[in-house]
Amino acid sequence: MLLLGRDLRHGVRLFWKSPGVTLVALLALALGMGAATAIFSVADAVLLKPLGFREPERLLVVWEKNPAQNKFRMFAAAGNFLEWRSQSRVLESIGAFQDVHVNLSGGPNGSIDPEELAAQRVSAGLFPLLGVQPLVGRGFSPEEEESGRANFALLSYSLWQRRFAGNRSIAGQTIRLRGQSYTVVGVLPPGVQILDRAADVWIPLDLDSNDARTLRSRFLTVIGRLRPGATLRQAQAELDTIGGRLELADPALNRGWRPNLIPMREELTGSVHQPLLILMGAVSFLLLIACVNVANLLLARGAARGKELAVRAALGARRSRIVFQLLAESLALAAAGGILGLALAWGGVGLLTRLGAAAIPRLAGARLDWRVFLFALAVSALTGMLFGLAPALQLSAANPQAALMESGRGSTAARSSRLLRNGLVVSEIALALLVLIGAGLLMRSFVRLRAVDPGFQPANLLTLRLPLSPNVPIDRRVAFLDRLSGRLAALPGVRSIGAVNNLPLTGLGVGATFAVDGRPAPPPEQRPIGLVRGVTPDYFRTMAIPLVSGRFFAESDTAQAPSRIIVNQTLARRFWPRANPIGGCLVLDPSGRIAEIVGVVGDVKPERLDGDDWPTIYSPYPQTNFNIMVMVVRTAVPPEALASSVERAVHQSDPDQPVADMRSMDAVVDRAVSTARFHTLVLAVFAQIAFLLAATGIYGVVAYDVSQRTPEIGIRISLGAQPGDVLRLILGQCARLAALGIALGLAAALALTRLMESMLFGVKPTDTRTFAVVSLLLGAVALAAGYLPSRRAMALQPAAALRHE
Amino acid sequence: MITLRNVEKFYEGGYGRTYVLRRINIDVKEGEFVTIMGPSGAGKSTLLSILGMLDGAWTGEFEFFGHAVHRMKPKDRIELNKKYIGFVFQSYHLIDNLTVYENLDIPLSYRNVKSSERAAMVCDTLDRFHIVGKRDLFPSQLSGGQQQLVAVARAVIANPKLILADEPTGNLHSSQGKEIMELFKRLNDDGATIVQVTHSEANAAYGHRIVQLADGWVVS
Repeated sequence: MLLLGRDLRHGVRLFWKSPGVTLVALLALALGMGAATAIFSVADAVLLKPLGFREPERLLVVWEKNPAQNKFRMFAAAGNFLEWRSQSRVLESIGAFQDVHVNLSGGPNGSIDPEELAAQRVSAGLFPLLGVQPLVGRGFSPEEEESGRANFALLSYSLWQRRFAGNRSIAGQTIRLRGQSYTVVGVLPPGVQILDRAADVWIPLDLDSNDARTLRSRFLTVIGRLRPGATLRQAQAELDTIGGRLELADPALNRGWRPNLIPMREELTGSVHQPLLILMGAVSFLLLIACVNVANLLLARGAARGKELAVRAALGARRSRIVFQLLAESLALAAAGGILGLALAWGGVGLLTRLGAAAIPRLAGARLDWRVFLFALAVSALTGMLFGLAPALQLSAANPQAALMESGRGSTAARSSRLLRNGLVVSEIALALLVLIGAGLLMRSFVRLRAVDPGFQPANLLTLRLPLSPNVPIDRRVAFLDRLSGRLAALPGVRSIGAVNNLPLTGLGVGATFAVDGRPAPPPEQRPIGLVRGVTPDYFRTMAIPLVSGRFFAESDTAQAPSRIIVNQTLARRFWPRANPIGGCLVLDPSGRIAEIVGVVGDVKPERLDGDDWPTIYSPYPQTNFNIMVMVVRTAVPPEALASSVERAVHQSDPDQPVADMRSMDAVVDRAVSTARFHTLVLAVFAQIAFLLAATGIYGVVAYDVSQRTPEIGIRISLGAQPGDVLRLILGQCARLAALGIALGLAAALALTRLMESMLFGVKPTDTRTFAVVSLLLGAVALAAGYLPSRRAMALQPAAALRHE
Repeated sequence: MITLRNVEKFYEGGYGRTYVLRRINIDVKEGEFVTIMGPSGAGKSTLLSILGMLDGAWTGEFEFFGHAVHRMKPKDRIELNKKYIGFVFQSYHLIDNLTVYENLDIPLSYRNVKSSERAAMVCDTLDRFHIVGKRDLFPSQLSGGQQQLVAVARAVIANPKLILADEPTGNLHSSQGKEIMELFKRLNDDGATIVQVTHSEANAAYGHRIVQLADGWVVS
């Protein structure tokens, strides 16, 4: 211990003597380890942390798929869910839920401030299936699932605390949801989320087994639990068999449809699995670069201590003692870097969580925990051994007599030591190029994504969701919207107002099958699906969605007027490829209503900027029955400036009307690209760190090389070398290292970037421009990093250089 | 050939100037073999570095082959060095990662000699110094005497008019040293002007005259 303490003290003194080298080494280690720890903490939370349910490995999500229609993750029809639940033997239990929004307008003590709540309609057995026990009260009973007997509610822990003061006697009390009385049966524990979707309240599924229309609608997310010992394959086979029976029983609903079983973990993290692996790979490269950087710095420092170690050997130190001393010094540096890195990781996890919570499922729960701390310590120790061992072994094996007499023989740098350092810097450049190319591809992809025309003008648009009561007739809802529009139009700064049931870039929303009137109608299971939208007359103008042909809706398109629709260009091109669809008609399922096409508008991205365009059918709002509408307000000023005036106008129109999700359209677009932005940002930060580390590494190696070659440079000048010859000598070596590193990096990039294909939009993984620009940039930086020491070499006085040792 | 008038070299220190050379006045004629001697710290090697254009930080007047070196820019001094001077160092100062052949080739490459001519000149020199068999060896594979031989060969390969030798036999044993000095004598007989720095009376005897330095002054 005494010896260790002495070695550590000596090491700290040596590091203090060369603060520049020490600082660079510490920063390199801290950045490498901090970034690695942060990303692995995130990966742990997202990919590895238990799902928070009982035996989550047995949980599945059951979608419906129709490969012929290229649909693989459709909500399940309610009737099919009931049949699976009654017929399956491989799944020990099956539950279902639907995301909805409900208005909270009353509490146990009467009216309260209205609030729109995120809610889920759930089957009675869903929470027992998941293993979730209420904190207060009880769960739903099977009878409470039946239509007409379903006015019960389970509260979330946060809602219970926030609106009901955590009152433990809430169970049995009445609240008002959707304009009706609901009895609270219990409160769930904190943090209950199904498939990462937060809810404030749960109400029973309320399925009417006699309501064919509801049973034939696909709107349920189904969760199943495998019987112990059963496999996914067995469950898939069984449900396929059941699906075959259901197809025979109801071909109109089920022809071509089968269940699609996905393990719950894969459902949650499947879309981010690959990108997270890419980020983990990139941060591992970053850590390698940091280690190589530090290795080179310490190799150089170690080489300069050759005489000291030779003297120690001459004074009797055994080889093992010298190895121990050098290892102790290296481990001390690694430990210090590890502690700094841990601090960086702490901040990094917080930053990643804030940046990516909207983009990455389960990220909000990411924390630095003790396992990650141990990982960081292990990385520090391994790094210490890696870069402590090589110079330790190299130096301790040196012939002390030769080292002591070094000034007599050979005045220029040792060959093998130079080869090792050059090899390290080549590998550093190759790794940095790899990370830089990855970041470059993502950045180009993100720029392309942001350049995609969403089909409307998002700037200066304020949006707000108005959950109208479904019990109110459509004509009163129309009147409310008209009244509200009138108030909004009078506000200074408001240019136009519209409304729609589903904003672009927020999801596919409601869809229905249709057929073209006057043409042979395909069987129902083969009919195309179109997105269904209910809009007010000024919606298109407000959103700046262009009119391609025909007309927009007018005030005369009332509920009593003939059925009229506007279609988008995708629908028009597909079904009227060489004709104008104006005047044509569509037959809309399930009602069979025939509607005349009066206009064609431009396509609008329904879900993602890089997603497909869907056939879309717009109806005048009075001719629909949507109760949740989104107002869009085009403003002459930044939309946020009008937020409070708009909200006030809503409450003046109806004091009980909640306003939800008020945000600018720019924020909606931002949210739509948040995943791509997160990945791009993180990899860009890694690339900058890799860039900096590579430049520092090159500078360090070249500077050290110049100092070691000072006598040689003196000899060359004494033999007639001009400053230009010296520059060419040093920069030439730098250029050769850079060229080799870049060549290796390019080869690795060509092999590895194809793993990023799913993350890219509009850019090939082997995009030539990206490869070329990054290579040139890194080459230029390498030369620049080598130039400074070269200048010093050029200015050497030969006499002084020849005396240098 | 060489004229030094009031050449001085000093370092500015905390307590004022530390002189290495004081008012050096020396003339060296073409074809002479001059020995510079003196105790350690007398400034012998410094004087040699100045003569070899390796040290530009001095004052005074230095004429070399009619060129006023004291008025020349460093780049021009290097050109003068390349044209007329060959330098032999005490520590040989061969380049470790170059072979014997490459070490001989280096001065020619800096004199813009065509590569075909360079090859011929290197081969001639290897032959002249009887080190053809060593052409592909690295300095670390040679003995001290062999290294110094290669260093001398490198110094003369471009046929310099002036050879400067700083303790050329300092790291050699006596028989190797004698060989080197005999070689210098032959080179001088062939017309080369030689200025050597040495502690050895035996080596000094090869020269025509001795310049004694003490504490930076020429004392005789």
